[in-house]
Amino acid sequence: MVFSSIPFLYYFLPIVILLYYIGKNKIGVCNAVLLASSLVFYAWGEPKYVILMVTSTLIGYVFSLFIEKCERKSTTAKILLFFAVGINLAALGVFKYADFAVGGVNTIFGTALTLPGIALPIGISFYTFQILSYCVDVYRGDVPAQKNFISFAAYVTMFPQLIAGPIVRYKDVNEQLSSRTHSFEKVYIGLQRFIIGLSKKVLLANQLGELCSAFKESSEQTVLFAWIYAIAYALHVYFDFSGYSDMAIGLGKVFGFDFVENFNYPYISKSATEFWRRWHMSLGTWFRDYVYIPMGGNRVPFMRWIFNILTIWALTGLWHGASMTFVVWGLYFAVILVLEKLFIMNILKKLPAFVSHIYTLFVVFISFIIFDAESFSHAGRRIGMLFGFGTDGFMGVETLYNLRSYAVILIIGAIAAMPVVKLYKAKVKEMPYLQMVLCGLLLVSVTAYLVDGSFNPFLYFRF
Amino acid sequence: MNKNQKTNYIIPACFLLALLFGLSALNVIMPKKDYIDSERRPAAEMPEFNKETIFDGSFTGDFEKHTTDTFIFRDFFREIKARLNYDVFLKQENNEIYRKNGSLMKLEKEIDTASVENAMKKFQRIYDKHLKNSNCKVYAVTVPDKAYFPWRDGDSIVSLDYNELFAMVREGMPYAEHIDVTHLLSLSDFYLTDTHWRQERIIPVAKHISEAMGNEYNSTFTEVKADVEFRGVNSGHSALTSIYDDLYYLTNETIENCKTVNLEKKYTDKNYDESLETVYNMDKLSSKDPYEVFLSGACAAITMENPENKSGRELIIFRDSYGSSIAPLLLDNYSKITLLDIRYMNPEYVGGFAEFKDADVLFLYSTTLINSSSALR
Repeated sequence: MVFSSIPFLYYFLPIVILLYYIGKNKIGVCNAVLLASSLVFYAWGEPKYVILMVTSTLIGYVFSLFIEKCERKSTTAKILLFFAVGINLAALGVFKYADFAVGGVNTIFGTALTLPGIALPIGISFYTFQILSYCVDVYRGDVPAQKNFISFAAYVTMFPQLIAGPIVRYKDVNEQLSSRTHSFEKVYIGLQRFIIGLSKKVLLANQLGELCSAFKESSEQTVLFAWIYAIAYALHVYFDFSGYSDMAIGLGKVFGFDFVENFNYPYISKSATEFWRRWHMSLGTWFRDYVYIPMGGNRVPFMRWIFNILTIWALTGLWHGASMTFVVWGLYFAVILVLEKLFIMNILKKLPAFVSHIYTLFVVFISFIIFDAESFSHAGRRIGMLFGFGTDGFMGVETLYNLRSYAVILIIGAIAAMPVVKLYKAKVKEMPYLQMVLCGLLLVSVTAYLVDGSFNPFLYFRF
Repeated sequence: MNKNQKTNYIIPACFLLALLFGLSALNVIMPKKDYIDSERRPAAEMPEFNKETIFDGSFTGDFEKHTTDTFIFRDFFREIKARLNYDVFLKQENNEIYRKNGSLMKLEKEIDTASVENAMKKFQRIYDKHLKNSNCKVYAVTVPDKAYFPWRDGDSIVSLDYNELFAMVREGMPYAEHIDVTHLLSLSDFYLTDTHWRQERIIPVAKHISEAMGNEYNSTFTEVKADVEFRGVNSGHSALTSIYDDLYYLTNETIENCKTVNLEKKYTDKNYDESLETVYNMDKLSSKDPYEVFLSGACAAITMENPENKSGRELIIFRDSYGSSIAPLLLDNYSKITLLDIRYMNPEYVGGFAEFKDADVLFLYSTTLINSSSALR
């Protein structure tokens, strides 16, 4: 089920809120309601994959109980952790990367093995990473193992963040699973955040997505259209994903949870390094804490550090999708980040801030063209078009038509991606009724688009 | 609980919850419509809930369609979206409907060569079989769709090249004398919410066609306003359902006295009473498509006999829906007009409905149909 749909908004959500708050004085009932509703939520789109998710959850739960019983970091604990992590990664590998692996073998060895064609269970990357981090944290002694299966399963499967993050770590919600507060303040702030996220998705991301589709379907290949596409796609990804994170954080709040933030105005960054501190923060910190630092981080010889960086970013790319374009996308950032650390940062510091901004935006635009490309040739052609290669000229009728059609949305998108919204929110906070009315209007507007809508894919569902 | 808390959180939280739960409750409680009038289509039905539909995923998809189609105040919400798109985001189109000066239209973005060729082939077959060796004079009128006008005005829109399309029709119908009517038309001659032209605005077009076919045109008409708020097909598509057109029809003694026969019904419906048939079917004003007031709308073959004209001259019109409103305006010059629509009949059988002998034959088709001719049989 997607958040931006009538069944979720006007059927599922009200029923869950109602059931949840009927039992709000008993935390066990609350968690049971969350678990049951999350299973329904997941089964709505993927009934057969509920079994996979519950099995992964059960493995994480049981192994962690045994790990905790072992002497800390003992060989037995290591073996148990190995199996817990291994089984979950194997499931991720089979369901997400089987086609990619077989395709790779065919390419390298010239074989013609049949692709398994296994459908990707939605959200598998997110819940697998949550289970993995939980097992590792229990192994490290950072958190106690959860004894109550319902509470643990409620954490893993919790529908607000189940299918597109943020990657909520167990240690961040451990205490909230057994004791959390509910208040009108939380409900209001949560609903407000949810509606803002929904608006980002429906009013901005979907429309920007239409513009990107128009570019891809057009026979008019102009420089201006390529730039419009590059900007539109960068905004589209941002509003799609950060909108989803807002919705997840908001819904978490409604049910008494405080989830980690996932975005912090990434497009104001002055370097790619800073960009990644502001973009999909829960994934970045996950890889840092569970892969990069265990590999030695940057406290290793230079060549080993380069290897660590390349490994992390190749994995980050691969996490986003089972395709070589994603791997190259990750490696592209690895190269940029290494160059920034070694040379570019020193240069950027001496330049005016706007130059750093332009540099960062350019790096990000290129990266998202690779990210969105169906193949390397598509990526190469579209990047070349930015510089006039293989184009029909600077602009044409279709380019202008689409620019006129989406200019306002692009401008609103550009403004909404900047902290100017934060300043505005601070002002409006002093006027609660105005804030309330604006939220109501946004909800009505979003409903209008959903009632009449057709273009509504969620990008991060595939991850 | 202090007053500040109440103001800042409780009232706003209750407001948003009331909005969410209120709409939710209304959707559950209110009866569901099974037909969406504005979009002229049935609403998606509530799917069956069983093991098969759940596991093949059809239940969830169909349930979403059903809840979306039957959402409370659906037209109101759709109009909000349309207004936001057109007036706030300044988008050129909503649901692929372009708006210029309040007039709603679907842009024809490129020539469908195969479709144009298909139409030309169908017309050629009619010519070869019925007209080639007759004494009929053959004429052709290509009615521009509404998107022609912003294109002609040089608006920066994505559009097919109408000159090229007209040229293809001329080349595809070398046996016909082509009558250009584009210079007599403007966007305001069409309904705001519908694809069709307004009958009360096309007298100059009728005059031009009639004179091009060798007639002296002296017809005069009385304009009558129909008691209807006409929401054309683009109203539903664009979702601007609060906009409507006034619908006028033109009448005179000839039209009132002429004998109209729906040949399709005459040959297929035993209970058909041709004495009840009229040029303007007032019952259609309350139908889903009030434009059908003109000659009762879609029909394979219909004739209008003018007892006042004793010349014996006959006009046969191969036509699409644009022909329904212009044909009555040509009636004074003929004893009989036969309208044939090969979307609803096999062209092989047209000989059974009209005699192709010494008649004027007019192919009157819109660019929309020519560029999307799969409906022609």
